[in-house]
Amino acid sequence: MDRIELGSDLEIELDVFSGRRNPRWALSGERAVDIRERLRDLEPAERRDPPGLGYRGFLVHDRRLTLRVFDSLVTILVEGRSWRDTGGVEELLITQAREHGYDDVLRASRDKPRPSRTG
Amino acid sequence: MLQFLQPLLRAIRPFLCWLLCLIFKRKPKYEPSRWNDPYQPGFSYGHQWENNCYNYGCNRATDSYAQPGYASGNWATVMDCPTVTAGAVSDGLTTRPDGAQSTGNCAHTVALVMAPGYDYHWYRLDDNGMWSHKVGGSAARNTDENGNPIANPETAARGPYTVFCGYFTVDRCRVRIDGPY
Repeated sequence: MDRIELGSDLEIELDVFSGRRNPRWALSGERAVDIRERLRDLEPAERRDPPGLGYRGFLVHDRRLTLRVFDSLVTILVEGRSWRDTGGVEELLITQAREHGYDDVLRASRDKPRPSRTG
Repeated sequence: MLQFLQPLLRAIRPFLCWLLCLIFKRKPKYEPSRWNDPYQPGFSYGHQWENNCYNYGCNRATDSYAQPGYASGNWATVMDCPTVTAGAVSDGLTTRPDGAQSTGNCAHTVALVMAPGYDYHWYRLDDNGMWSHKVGGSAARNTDENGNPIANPETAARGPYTVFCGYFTVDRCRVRIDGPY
């Protein structure tokens, strides 16, 4: 498969939490078409797994598959093939997350790790 | 017939658990394949994305993304140490002063850490004396954020989970967890 084929209804999951349920929102219509267009003709890349705790990018759920968009890479989960995010999908989803009110969550999860403390 | 037996089984489950724990040692083992996708028939739960760090810490897959306090009617929705601790204690976990392994054949130690105002996370002490964890729906693993084995969750690299809340004992016959998802 040279291109990632997605359906018309998508669910986006901001993968940031460990205990709490991740924020999610639905995408359909023009916004889903936009994502599909951006995922066409991407360049293959080597897979890199995200770090554990904190911001791990976005999961794009389709009926058939789930993609992780993180650190300028698009990866099909389980199967594991990756492409470079030349379409700017991650930046687009970050903008959408802010529109959905998750700016604070994004900022907190992308903070540089600080020294551990006891509380 | 089975429906008739269910209330009886529910009622005697704690006793059966206690009885099994008298005979068998049931500390958690580090077996990531039991938790992680892809599904392995006869071994994996195949529900990696439906179980989080609290499920893994308590060594119980509910497939409902368990939340501290939810099963006992005290769901902790404020993300600070006292609130999440209260929720966990309400579910049957007990606080403990240190990270040594809990005594008893069916008890083990867990640790709670916090990204204040944002989220909580749990680590579990396995029967090999090292700690492991599961980050949300991601795969269970036994390394910290720097890729090192976890000998002490207080000093492990924990990303934004900067506050160490404390240690707890999970007694599998007493603890009841569940979630809303």
